[in-house]
Amino acid sequence: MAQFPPLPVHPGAPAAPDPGPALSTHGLTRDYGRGTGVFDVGLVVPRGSVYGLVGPNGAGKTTLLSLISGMRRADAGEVLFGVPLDRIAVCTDVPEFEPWLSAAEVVELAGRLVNPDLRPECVKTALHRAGLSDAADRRAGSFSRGMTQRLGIATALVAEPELMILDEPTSALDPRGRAEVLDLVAGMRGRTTVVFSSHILADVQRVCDHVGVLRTGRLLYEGPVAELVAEHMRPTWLIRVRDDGAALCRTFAAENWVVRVSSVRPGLVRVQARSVEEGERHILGVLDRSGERVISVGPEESDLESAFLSITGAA
Amino acid sequence: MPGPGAAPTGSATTAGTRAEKAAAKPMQRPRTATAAARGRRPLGLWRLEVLRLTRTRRWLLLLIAYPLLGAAGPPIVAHLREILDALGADASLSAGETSADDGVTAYVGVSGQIGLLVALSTTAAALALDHRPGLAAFYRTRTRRAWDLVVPRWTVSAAAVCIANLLGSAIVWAEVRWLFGPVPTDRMLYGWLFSTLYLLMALSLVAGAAAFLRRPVALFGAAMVALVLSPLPRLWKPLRHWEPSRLAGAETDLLDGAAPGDFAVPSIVAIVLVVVMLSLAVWRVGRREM
Repeated sequence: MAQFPPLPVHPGAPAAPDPGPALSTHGLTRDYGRGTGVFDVGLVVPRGSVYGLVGPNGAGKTTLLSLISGMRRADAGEVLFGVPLDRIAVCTDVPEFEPWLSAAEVVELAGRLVNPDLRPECVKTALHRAGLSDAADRRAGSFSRGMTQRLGIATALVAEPELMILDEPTSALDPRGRAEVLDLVAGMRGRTTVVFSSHILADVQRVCDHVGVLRTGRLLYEGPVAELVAEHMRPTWLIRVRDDGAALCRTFAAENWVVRVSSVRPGLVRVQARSVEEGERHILGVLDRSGERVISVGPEESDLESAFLSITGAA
Repeated sequence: MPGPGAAPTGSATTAGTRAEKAAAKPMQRPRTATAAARGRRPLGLWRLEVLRLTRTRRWLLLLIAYPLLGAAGPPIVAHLREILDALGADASLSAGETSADDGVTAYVGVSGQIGLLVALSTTAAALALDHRPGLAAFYRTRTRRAWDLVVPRWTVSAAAVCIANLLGSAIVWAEVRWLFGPVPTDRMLYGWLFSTLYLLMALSLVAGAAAFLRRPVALFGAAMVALVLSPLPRLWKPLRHWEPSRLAGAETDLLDGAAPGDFAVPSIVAIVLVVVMLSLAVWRVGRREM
């Protein structure tokens, strides 16, 4: 990571198709002792994807990204880049800058360190994309944490990298700023590979097409977000009825294909089946036999959070 | 925030609208745009260090420590008797006849000590490059060689210290010549040269400390301890003539009759130390992880 070569003639144009992943790791291990660190992590980040690295606090996300970006050394394993090393940009979770430089100077410095022939327009564009056009002339030391985080993103964007590594890029932003950054990240899909870590699963589900789930330093799952959600969709239905649902709970509890039945609140019953197939096959029959006045029946929404909880065993 | 690739002046976004409003007010145009129009020099690691000195006002501290305090030395020495009389002290006991040597000694004694503290702290602040993790990540993920992180920081700080010392020495030379009469030019030049070598050696100790430590205070403290202990080799006779801290008092020693050649060996040792300490810093900073 470092001195970037001159930008392509048409910066921002889609990179030439390359079948290999933009980034992969094999057996990456860094042991801090007492079970902390990352262990035997094998990531494969498809080129042009937005890859979310999720996990609870202390899961090893920042350590893993530090190993990938070369800020820390691995005890074992390797990191393979499918893009030139000098076309990788890193934005840490708590970016810091010389407080006596203006935002424009910070971005210019970031750009010139990797590309000495940086055009001045690139600085303006990067600041604009990060939403800092109005603050271009303000000293970085006067920035709020959210603005500093945006400035970190601008410094990553200025050199038009092929691979961006963003550690918790939305952690200090207000809801609007978060949405803007997520839109920015989502918009890079297809031409810039983005790896970003977050513990906000809704953010990851919103913008990522691939996800890696870390817990206690180990990669528990890696693959497309949609597959993860589908794989870990619980065979659970929510049934709304006119009365309080107590009788319906008893009826479902007597069925051998029902794993769990509970009353969420009066009139709303959650039924969990052994499998999606059994639920779909039997649930309407039970409702028909019960004689309840049914308002609605539907599968409980499955999302990344429930999949994550299922994988990490926290559910 | 607009999508990627959108023009900076796009009007479909809040930021774009703000930018247009700002552009409509000529009095509030960003200074950077003006600077770019003037053909401002591009911002690289060397210019960054110059800005570090100027924008943090550290150059002012150097100016106070060397030329300003230095300028006060010879007049005070020349008029010491009158000053003591005015203060009601017994001048006959405290002050004898003063000479050009005393004027230079005053500079070496006052600016040499205070200036050294300022020089060490200025360099320590610049070389504490891993003190703030976020800032360290900013530089480390964008530079290929540790050389780029260490050498510009040390060189610009050292150059500023040397220039301040040169200014101070020149002012003192002029004052001494005016107040006490002519002093040998070659001796003064040699004196400045040797004191500069001493300063460079002292600042290289900060670089050496930066190889192992991160906090500016720790760098400053470690370099100070090393400087305080540096005359210890004098206790062993074979090393007495090698010891580079002798260079600190070269300006007065030369006026007292010492020959420039007496400082040749300590000068070589100082230069070797500078090279070794800087190399150590570059090597260690390059291997250190955050």
